[in-house]
Amino acid sequence: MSLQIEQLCSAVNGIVHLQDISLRFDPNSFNILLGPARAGKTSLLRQIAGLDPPDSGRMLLHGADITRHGVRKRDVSFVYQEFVNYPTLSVFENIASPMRVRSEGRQTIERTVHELAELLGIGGVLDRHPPSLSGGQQQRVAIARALAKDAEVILLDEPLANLDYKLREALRRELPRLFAGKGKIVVYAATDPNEAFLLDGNTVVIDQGRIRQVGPAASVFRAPDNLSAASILSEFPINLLDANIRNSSCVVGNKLTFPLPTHMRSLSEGDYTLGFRAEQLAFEARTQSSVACAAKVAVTEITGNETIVHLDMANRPCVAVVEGTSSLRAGEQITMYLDPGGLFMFDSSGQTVASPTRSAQR
Amino acid sequence: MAQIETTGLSHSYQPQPGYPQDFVLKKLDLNLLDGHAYALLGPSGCGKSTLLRIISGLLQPTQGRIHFDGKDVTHLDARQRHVAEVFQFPVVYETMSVFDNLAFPLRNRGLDREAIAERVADVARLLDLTEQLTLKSAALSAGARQLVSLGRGLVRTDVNAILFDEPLTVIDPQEKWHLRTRLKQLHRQFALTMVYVTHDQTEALTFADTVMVMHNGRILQSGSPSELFERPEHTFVGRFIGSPGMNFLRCQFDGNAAIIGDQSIPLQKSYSADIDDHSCELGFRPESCTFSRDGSGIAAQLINVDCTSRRKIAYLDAAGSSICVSLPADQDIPADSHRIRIDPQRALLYSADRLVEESR
Amino acid sequence: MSVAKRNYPKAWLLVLPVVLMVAFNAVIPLMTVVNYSVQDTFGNNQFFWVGLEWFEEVLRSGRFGDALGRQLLFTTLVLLIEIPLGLMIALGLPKSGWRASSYMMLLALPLLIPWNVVGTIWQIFGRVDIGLAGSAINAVGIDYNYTQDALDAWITVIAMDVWHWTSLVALLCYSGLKSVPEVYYQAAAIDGASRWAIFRYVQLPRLRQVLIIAFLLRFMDSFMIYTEPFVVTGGGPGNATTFLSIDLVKLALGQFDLGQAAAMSLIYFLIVLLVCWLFYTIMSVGDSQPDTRQ
Repeated sequence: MSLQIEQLCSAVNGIVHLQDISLRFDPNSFNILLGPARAGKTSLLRQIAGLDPPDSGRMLLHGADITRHGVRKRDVSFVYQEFVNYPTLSVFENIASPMRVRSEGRQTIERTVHELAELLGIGGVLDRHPPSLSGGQQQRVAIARALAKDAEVILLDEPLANLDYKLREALRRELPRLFAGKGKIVVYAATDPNEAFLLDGNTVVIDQGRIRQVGPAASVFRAPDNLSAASILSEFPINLLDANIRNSSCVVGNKLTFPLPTHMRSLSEGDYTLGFRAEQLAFEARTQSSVACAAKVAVTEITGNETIVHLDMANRPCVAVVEGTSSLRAGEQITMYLDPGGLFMFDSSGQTVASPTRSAQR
Repeated sequence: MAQIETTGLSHSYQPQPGYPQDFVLKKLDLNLLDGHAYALLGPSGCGKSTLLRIISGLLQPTQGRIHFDGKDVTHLDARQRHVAEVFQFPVVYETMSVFDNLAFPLRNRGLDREAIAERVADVARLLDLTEQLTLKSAALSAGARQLVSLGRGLVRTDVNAILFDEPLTVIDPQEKWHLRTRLKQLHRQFALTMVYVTHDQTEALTFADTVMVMHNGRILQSGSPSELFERPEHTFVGRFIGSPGMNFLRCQFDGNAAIIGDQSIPLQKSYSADIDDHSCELGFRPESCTFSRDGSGIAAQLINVDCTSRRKIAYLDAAGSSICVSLPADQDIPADSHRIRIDPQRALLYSADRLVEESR
Repeated sequence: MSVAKRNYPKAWLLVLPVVLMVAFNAVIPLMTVVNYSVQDTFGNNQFFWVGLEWFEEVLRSGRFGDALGRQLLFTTLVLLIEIPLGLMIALGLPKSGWRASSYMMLLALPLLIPWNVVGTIWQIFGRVDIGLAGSAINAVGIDYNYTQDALDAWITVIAMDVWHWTSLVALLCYSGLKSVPEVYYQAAAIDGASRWAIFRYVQLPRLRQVLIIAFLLRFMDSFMIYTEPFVVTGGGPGNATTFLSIDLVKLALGQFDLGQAAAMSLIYFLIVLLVCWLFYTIMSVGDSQPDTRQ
């Protein structure tokens, strides 16, 4: 019993939005569609909702083909990035609206609305109208309405993107708990990899209309199948350098050469792309095998307890994140250390050919 | 670029404000130095956008004065104040090319054709827009539009300050990153006076030399990013800055140690002020506390654990409050009986929401 | 994200009733006219085929050409006055508040008056004996009489149309101006833009769509004008204000020349269609560019 998508394709005016999507979402699962803007997240959610029909492919719910079912026939609710509520209805009526459509009894409606409002912390504003509420409250109303519909599939399209920072944090912590144990299939679109980590569900990495990898965020982060998944799961842009393997060494540019670490030994000679995350660059050597790389500071940003250092390494822009606040001047020449055990290697088609072993990662 | 000073600046959107709560800005005295980058940080409704609109001259303050380089500009409008502003929603003149957009402020000021072409070419190079100069601006991405609207400020040589009103709100996360660094570099390169309004602490802390945290029409603290992080002067600042924010636990103070339940945390500092025990709180960052392995520390009950790519965040109940502990991702959380040890060097004492200063 | 254009076969069923309605009250009468335009009769319900003779006669007669010329002149003048005037009124209106709504009421008034009443008002208003305007103009020493002088008749008819319809343009433009986000005015103020530059680069681009609609509506309406000038001047003095539709009625009902009238109405119809299509294509050329705004 699940929602199954088989080889779904969709293009609009010759532009491919979704390409060969095959997925399976189980009941009681929290699924995160993670990808950059215009990756196809919203297109896929609209397909699942039945708002757009696919060009080819099938969609099955509990084994029954629903591909040709329009939005009205599908049992889904949709929460948008913009807070969509009925502005002229009170919060109570907003939440009650899906139940009114189903002509539920008055007592059931009263009970359910109050339950949901309590759950979402909007019990005190039931008499007010959405435009007079804060963004966070408005989005809670929209979520409560989605829950009141009691649909089997709940779709959320970046529901927290328009909220203030601290509100986003609070609501993000509440969301998975709201849906837990209700038997729903939740699909949540996100661009921020931290959201995928914190929501702690099944992460579907999507880019340019294709699925790049599926799995828990932590395992995709540790062992990305390809360059696209590796960079989408990075909090800071992943650093990429052109590398060449010859004579069991890795050569980057004309200054940096180091012996191949264990997990790269099996690679044949040739050109590759070397990848490492911002947190893997450090000011001091962490292990004996750490490689020293010359770098020029472009600009530094302090985030409070951490410093983001933008560097020029081997004529490529790179990013490092270090703890504490460090005052580096722009243009300063410094040495950064890189642990070869934590490096990724990608081939020319962007497939991962070497991932660090778990113990080598910090 | 200019130094901007405000004295006793108050503003109310009501025609006859009477009560203090009618005011969205409450008697602000600011001194923004020439060539510095400032961020106004606060939750929505704190008055930060109002303050920005008053600085730019789009809004007249109810009370108080505003000076640019010592000259009173309180009653000058936006045109006469020579400020540039980048708005939340990128404003480009859609029927014009990128070149014409950048040239627009100069043409309005009657510069000659050659001077305009030269200046526009310079700014386009600076913003990496040279290749897009001939494009219709309607065809640009949101990030590029925001660069163009910034460019319209940079081309002018008479600009006193560049103001930003949540400029990255509608920008894709990937573009956001580049635009943010670009701003920072421009500031370093040209010592521009910049004022940046945002609710996003990362944007504020990474962008500014000085961050001013606003709440309810007042500035609670103004300082460097690390000052705000290490020594918040108000519990609101502590909670607002940092993700997750600072932990606060009710405590009693006996002259040199904070007492929480049966635990005494020696603060190793001396305080001159009399401290009222009823409103005393110990503040510490989730990063400056750990799980103790030897049975000492404050007893706590683990609620749940969140993992990000780099850190583990444990949410706990301790001494009647909820607190967070942030650990590097490779550290494990003890399986049973949780006790928290607070680093006394980095713990701060608060009384009535204000930081208690140590005496030297 | 754009809404997908796709084929839903069932959707056509929903349009079917409308298609039938249009067929019934537009296409069938049109076919009757086509039928008349290619036949002649000597009474007794006997018709015989004349091919394109009626069309040739209409086009060769100076009468049609004259009426068409007058019609084009009238429409051009009316558009030249009403569009800029309406735009200026819209720009001058306050953006909000009670004054905005009261101006709106005043503006809407002429639009609510039936066309023949408008004609009657101006017919009386302009009369030299009892009309306020007519007698006043004569009183200051200007010789004005729209029943005798062709120029006076034209001025009266155009003034009437401007009075009647400028409000429509003004209201359309006003609604278009309301859609300009406030932040654009702020940015323009900061960029030091002049009033003209704000109009040219901020307001006009956003009014484009609305202006196309105003233009088309006013073109079609003024090109087919009948009631008001007929009530005021009856097409005179002489044929000075005999516009196409007035001429058509004279031909069809006055002379009962059905074949010629049918041919003329078809030509008339084609001209309106052609001009509308031309306007629309020319004015919406710029809109076919891909729109990347979200």
